[in-house]
Amino acid sequence: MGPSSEALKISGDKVRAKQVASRVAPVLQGKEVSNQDEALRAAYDIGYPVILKAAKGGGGRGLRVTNSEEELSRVFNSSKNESMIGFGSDRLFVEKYLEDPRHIEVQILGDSSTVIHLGERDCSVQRRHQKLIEETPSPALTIEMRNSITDTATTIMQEMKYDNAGTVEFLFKDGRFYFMEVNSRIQVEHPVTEEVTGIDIVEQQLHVATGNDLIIKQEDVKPKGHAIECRINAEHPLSFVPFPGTVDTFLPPEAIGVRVDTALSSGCIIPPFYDSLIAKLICWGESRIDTIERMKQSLYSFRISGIPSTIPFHISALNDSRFLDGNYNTSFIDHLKQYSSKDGEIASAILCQLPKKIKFVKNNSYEDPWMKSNLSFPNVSNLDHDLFSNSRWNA
Amino acid sequence: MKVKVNGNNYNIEMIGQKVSVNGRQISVVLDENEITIGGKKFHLDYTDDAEPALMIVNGMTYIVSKSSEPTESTKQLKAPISGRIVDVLVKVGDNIKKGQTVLILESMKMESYIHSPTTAKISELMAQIGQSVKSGQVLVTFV
Repeated sequence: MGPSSEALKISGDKVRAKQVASRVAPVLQGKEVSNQDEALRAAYDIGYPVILKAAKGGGGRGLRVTNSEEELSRVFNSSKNESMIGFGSDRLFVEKYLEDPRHIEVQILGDSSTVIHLGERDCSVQRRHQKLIEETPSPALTIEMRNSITDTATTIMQEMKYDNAGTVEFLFKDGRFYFMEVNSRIQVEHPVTEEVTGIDIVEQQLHVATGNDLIIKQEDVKPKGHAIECRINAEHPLSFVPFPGTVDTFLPPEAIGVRVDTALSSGCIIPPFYDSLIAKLICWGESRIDTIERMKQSLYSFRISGIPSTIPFHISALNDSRFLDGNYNTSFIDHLKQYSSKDGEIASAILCQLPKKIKFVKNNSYEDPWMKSNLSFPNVSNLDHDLFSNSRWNA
Repeated sequence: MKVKVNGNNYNIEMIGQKVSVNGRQISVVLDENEITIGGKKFHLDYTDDAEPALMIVNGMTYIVSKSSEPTESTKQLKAPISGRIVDVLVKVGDNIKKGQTVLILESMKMESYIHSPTTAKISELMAQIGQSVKSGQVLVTFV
């Protein structure tokens, strides 16, 4: 289920997609390269920093940001190998690297003759080029910019004769947006769009895939309110190291305006073979501030034990002034504040009172080979406040 | 008593039932895996299979050690999580430095660089490329 093979041949190839999009949308300067010399020449013309990408890539794999000829030479072959292993193609391209942009994407629905959009999503809170928090509408866009970016996305997909559900991704900085790529599938973050539009995107995919024309017209799409998604991953909430293991307790929140997409339950084993995403927590509210408040309450009452999760990260992020102001970009996580010493003090107090022989976690032995002695944690703000003041274990 | 939490050292004094951390008094009540701090309840997960140990409070994760000094566990490198070995960067007899990358472990579609916990010579290597390993499994022993 998805677009026609013709549309997929274009949209699934970053180089071809960009060629088509460049006819109707602003793009960043870039060039396909077949060897290191060509890459160096292209980078010289474009100007550093540049990003090296796999033409067939996705999910942040095979991406390398380089600031100099030396760096580009050093990473070229590993990027080529990674691309071949990951995507069955070693075609690479070099593109101008935009520092600290926002990532804004537009949800598209199409049939054999029509393309409509369901508004945008702001997915700028990322680690390792993978998204952690998504929201709609984007707090960064004015009405004019929103109209411009959604019209552009729709036109790009019309050029590609794109049918079924898809997403056009843009980088956005200083009031300007640049086409990045097309995602020719349903995405993890699609529920935020569903919550504000009331449209079940998977239902629409089925409808189009079975040969029907879209029943929804552009003028029927009337987004209402605000929606945010937090990705709950089985990962260390500060270093984002993945943690497979056994879930002891899994009690997601239940409330009006709260949606949890998950297959987990208490006692489940999370194996190491798949992605670390274990649940999607989606909240809807009349306004952005209502939605943030609902999300915070949902995070505080979400009970997962036995494994680490990204819940504490989300609590910190939703208390961060940059997120509250809507003034954040893809470097958000790099600039989280120092983790508090009071938090460490409380943890110490707990630790010293633990009985000698104690073991609550199953299947989760742990050593510390990633952490250098001088502490390489990404930093999280006000953990004492966020975790120990607001959070509750409702026993 | 000294403890280490996320790489930082803390001085602990026990005054009767009260705990003083770096001079600040903190009241913590433990009941199995439920903790009460300032009237609020938290859930605790803890394992000391390895040194340093892993402590999780309502999902917030701490790497903890009751002693602030390095311990004997640096004689071995264990798999920190379950996964698959995608590269081994050392061989038996190599003299390696603390923090040097020893191998690359793929878990949950992410590659993690595993560093040596110690400066020492490798006496045994029990990890092969492509091998699946369980968390806690010994991968390297040091002389």
